[in-house]
Amino acid sequence: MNLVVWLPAMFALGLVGLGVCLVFALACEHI
Amino acid sequence: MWLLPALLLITAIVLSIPLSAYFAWLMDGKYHAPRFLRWFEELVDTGPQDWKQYVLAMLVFSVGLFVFGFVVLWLQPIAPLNPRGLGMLEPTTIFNTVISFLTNTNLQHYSGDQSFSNFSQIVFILPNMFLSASVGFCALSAIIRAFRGEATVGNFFVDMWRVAMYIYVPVSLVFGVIFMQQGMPMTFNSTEVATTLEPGSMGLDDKGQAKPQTIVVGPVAAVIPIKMLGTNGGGFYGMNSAHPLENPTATANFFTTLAMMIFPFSLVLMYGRMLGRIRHSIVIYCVMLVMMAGLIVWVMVFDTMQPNPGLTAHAGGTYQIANPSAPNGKIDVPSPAIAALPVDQHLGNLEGKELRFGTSAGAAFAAITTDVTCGAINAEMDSLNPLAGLSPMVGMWVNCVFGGKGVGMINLLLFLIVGVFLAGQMVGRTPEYLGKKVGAREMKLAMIALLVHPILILGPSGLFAATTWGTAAEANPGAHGFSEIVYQYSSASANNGSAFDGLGVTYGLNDNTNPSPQAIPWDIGTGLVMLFSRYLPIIAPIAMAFYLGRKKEAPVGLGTMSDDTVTFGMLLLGTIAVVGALLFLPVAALGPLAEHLGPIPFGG
Repeated sequence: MNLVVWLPAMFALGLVGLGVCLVFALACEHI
Repeated sequence: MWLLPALLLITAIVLSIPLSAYFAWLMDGKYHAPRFLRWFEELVDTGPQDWKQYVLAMLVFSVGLFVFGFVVLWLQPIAPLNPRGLGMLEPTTIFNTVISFLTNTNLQHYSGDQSFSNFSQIVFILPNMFLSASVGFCALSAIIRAFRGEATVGNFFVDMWRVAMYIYVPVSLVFGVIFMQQGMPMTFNSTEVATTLEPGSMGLDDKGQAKPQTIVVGPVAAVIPIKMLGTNGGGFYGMNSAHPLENPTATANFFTTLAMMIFPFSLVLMYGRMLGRIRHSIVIYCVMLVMMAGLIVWVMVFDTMQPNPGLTAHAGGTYQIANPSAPNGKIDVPSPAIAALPVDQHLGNLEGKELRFGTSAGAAFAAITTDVTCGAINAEMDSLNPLAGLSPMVGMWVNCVFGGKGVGMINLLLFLIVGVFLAGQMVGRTPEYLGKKVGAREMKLAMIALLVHPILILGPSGLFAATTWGTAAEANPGAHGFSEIVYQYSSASANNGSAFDGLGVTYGLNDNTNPSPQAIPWDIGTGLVMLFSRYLPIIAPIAMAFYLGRKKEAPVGLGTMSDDTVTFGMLLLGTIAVVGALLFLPVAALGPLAEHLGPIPFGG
């Protein structure tokens, strides 16, 4: 597996996922 | 047979009473630590936080843990304590593993003893087990403070410190000593070389000499207490608590099982103590206890008290399967007569069980570990009789049979809000909880949090069952294979971490030349499910509790529904049963029920 591609991609995916959770938290205020 | 689960339940109930009082005392800030510990508490205390600040702190902390975990696993090949020279995990497996331990799931798409050095076990696994286990505990404490109507819900970092340092560390030390006394390894060595009793049982070397056995060891007794107490469940060894060095004796098995029960039990009572409504929490406790007892009895009746149908005699016959080209849409398939295998089954289904723990220990453990979302296993889940396999699935689907630390109680609150809403609708009153009227905003937040779990199980399960991601990964065709897929996503979404097994989800180390072909989609799919099913059902209830808690308490009248009665308990139990069945009965029918009613080798 190409580490140059997959390693940063998986790292970014985790951060994006946590970012989605943050956006969800902010959205809860407007429900 | 019944003595083990009965003793476990009784001991957990007894211990939960003083522990809950200690937890409430601690989380209400009444404990004054010695100066050498207090300085750190003061260091991390950033002041009182409102619900948004608390949630933000939790997420920032989680980002830090994610980055830290990713870097540690990335550096494994060059890190110390790696005399076996283990390489790096494949990147999607690193993603899956870091998310798994961050979210307290501990779903393992790798084998701990084969893929992790002692450095990774100590620096990555151990801190994650303490810290991720504390997050749910902290979230429940914040919800309680919000329900009390407090403008601020505490400080996340102070709560985290108190839970980890004053609860998990001392209790882990006690269990660690017990486990070491029972024979669990505790060493920085990576391997021990042993001469086998039967010469040559490990094969011969180039010179024709009998090979010795190389046994992987390490700081097992440091990991296992928090693995169980924190309802983490991630094994040091691939075989988890079925491994003789991870669970050496029947006594160790008793304490291992007990360890995963005591904190979830205690937190329900802590909820009542901190709210000043102990009778209300006892009702909730009893509802959870009834569900857990029912699921333990279910799995034991259909596994410990029934033979394995794959080994018993079957008469010949025919069964029908759907076929669109047939005149009536079905065709008859002959089912040959099968003679019984020469296996003594008077002790029930013993396939995949560790008999050194007792005949019922595997089945009881299967129910308990999924009820409290621990995910450790001491028997092969895939080998449970079909109907018995339904018990662990139900535990994960409803996800509030005591549940994980804090999150189980939070999940039950969601069912509770739905229950009081339905009861309010039936009598034409605005629903109330804790004397406060449940409005549209609270209901929306509760429903969002409640629906995240089934959506994240059913959606990906359907996608994988319909594509080669699932069908090419399952080890068994038909209903059993479908159960394997549903179980994997149920485990991921419930943050449980146990596996039904049979699925090819392991890539292993990055240089593995023969990985499971579908490992990558499973790594990414379950990783995302674990992440969202962890945080969204924690965030929305904290917001809900804040908005409900700040409302004025309505005076108690004749029409007020009492929340500390048997009637309320029945309402809660009924709500969980009805909502749970509406959400999950179809997949239960397609998986375990179809397998039981279907043809041999399992049904018939």
